[in-house]
Amino acid sequence: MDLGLALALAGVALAVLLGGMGSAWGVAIAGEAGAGVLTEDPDKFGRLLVMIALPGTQGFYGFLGGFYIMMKIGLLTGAVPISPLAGLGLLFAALPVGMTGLISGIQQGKASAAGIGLIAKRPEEMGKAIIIPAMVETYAVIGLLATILMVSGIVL
Amino acid sequence: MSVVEMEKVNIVSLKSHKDAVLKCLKDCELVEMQSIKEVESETISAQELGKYEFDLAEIKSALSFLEEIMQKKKSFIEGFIPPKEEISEDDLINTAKTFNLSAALDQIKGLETRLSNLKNLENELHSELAKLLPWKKLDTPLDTLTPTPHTNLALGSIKNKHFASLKAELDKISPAAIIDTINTTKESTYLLFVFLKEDSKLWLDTLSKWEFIPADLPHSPKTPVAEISHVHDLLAKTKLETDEVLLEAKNLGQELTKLKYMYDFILDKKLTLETQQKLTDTNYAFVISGWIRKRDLDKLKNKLNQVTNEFDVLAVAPAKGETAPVALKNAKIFSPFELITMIYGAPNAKEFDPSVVLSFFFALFFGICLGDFFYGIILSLVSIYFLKKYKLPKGGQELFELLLLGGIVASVVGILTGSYLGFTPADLPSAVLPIKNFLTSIQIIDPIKNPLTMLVFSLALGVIQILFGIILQMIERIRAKQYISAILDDGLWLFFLSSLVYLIVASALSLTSAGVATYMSIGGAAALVLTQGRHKKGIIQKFLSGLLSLYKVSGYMGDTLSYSRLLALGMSSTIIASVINILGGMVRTVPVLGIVLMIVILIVGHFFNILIATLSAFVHSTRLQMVEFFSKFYEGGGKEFRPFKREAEYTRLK
Repeated sequence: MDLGLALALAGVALAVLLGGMGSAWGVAIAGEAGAGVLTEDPDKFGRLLVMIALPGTQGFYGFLGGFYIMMKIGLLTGAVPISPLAGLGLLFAALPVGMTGLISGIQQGKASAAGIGLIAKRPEEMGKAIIIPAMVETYAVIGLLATILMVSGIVL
Repeated sequence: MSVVEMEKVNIVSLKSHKDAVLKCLKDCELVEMQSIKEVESETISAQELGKYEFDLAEIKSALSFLEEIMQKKKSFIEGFIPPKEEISEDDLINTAKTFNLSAALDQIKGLETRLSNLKNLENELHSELAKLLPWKKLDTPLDTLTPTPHTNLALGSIKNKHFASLKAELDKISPAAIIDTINTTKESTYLLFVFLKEDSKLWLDTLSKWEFIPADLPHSPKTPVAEISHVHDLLAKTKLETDEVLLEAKNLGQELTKLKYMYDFILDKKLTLETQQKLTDTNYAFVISGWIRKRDLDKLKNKLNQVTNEFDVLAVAPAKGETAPVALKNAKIFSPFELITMIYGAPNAKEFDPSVVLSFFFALFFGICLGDFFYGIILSLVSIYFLKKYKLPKGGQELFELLLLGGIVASVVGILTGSYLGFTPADLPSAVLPIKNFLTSIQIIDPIKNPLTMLVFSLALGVIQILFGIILQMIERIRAKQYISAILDDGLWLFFLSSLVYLIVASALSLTSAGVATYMSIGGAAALVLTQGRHKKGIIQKFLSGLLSLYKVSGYMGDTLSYSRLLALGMSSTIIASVINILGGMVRTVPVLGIVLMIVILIVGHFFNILIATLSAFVHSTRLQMVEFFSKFYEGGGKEFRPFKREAEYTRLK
């Protein structure tokens, strides 16, 4: 294995790790709030599950970004040689999805928890409660987009 | 594109027909009632209302107790769509008449109390047992363990690690004392001490120094072993009785249904009572004030005619500042999109219903985000299943109709982008060459290979929707006869933004007309600087404020970039689908179990991906409508029309 490949793999790892961490954290925040509401009203489980799942997408975006890099370097199909600089480029390209995923995952968890409070009191307003955390997710989507564009722009 | 025209009406009839008229209004679900503020309304007995509320709470708690006993688990779907039993109104009333509510409630409450007493008893016995067990080997009746004239006695435990030190110290105080080790567990040693009364103080001080815990044993003529078996007997009895109570409660299963009927019956009575508060009475007549859809007016009169002919429905002018509640009515294909409008908020009195104008965009965006042929088909089929199988409330029905439409669009998008459960037409074996060639020929773009093209397409959709939003604002202002702001605000911005877009396109494609576009943009900008500050005082303020207004361009740019999520979400669902396929392919090489594992991974993986992708697609398409599109022309803030109707939690009338 050469340095270029190792750097690219570090990029894959970062994208998946950071996104997954953000989601795990965010889902936990929302989950704690949701479990609290469930003690009062177990019937709301289905509605709350949607809210708790909302911060879960960053993990997917991170994985997706990582996978996109894996496809780029042909890790699963037969690796192409990568220059160290291109590898470094791929590492940098992984950062947008990783970092935005980490931070927005946590913050979306908080917004979701607040939305859960809204559903606890006014279950009929579920539509609005879903939209508010989705505002936070925008920036993870943009991070993912930046990563994809950067990766597809890198010449190996 | 329509908000239904509403009419304010006063319905007048004789007091003797009051109940019948109210029932008629409740059944036909046409009128939203209002209390007439200026007139003192009929005071209803708060006591009666309180009684209903009390009953409802009692029934609710009895129901939750019974359901817990019967272990009626609600399925996941039932959590969203509570099942309702169908019953005819006569049956409901008959049940309510014959059912002895207070007796049933008393019986259930009695069982509940007995059960909780038994639970407490059981807990007590268990803690008693825990106290006794370490003393099992003490072969003396417990009540003989009392001080004699000269000796004192102590029973208790200390931690094992302190035992040696304690013993050494006690030996020093009085070597003649008895220290009997009854039992040793992993942590503690259980001891019986007998010592002289004169040493008592010193002895007890030493004991407490080494954290001696005195035993708390019952004063009984039995030995610990006998006492333990006695407690076991009691426990067995308690268990028996608990089972009896549980069985009795389970036998009340039939009451469960009846209690639900009663709940809805009382809820209905409460609602009727509350509604009466909104009526105005004279000596012989009463007045109901409310809103009705204008086209329903005749229908209402017909319905009332079936009850009595001594009534009148008068259309009245709404009071100053009073706005009509909003009901939407659209063609069948567009009506599901009212859901999006209503989530944001009903249109206010001056606005039109945006459901139709957002419908195309919403469906398209949803389709792009989900973006797979088979995912779209599956989602549509699931939606059809839900629409057929369950009687959904209005919102739920609209939601599944939306998913149905979105699924269809998604499958079309899937064909155009060549995504079939994560596979592309290129993945097909050459054995089916004609199909492969056909699918490849109708595929117009591969977003994974050409993300840039797809990005430009997404942003172009954004530009179209934003400009469309500005046009709608313009139309609205023209309808409101605000010609100046329609031309100077919306018109100029429309001109400026479209020339900017033209400029970008022209320079990207190096068209010769780029120069023209530049002049157009500069002209548009200049016009904006000159006009946007027109409300300010003084020439300098006007100019500065006009200049500042150009900053709004960055807002429009941000809005446009926001549409890039269409590409990202579409790719994410497709790529995750293909990852699932790759994983499935990997485990297939596992000997023997490979094929099973592959099937499990494929089914679970794709199921999960459809769920996540659908959620994202719905949420983000909605968001694009609300944040990027509505902000251009729509305010909302109207009050939804809620006609007076029966409310029930468990039943539905046939």
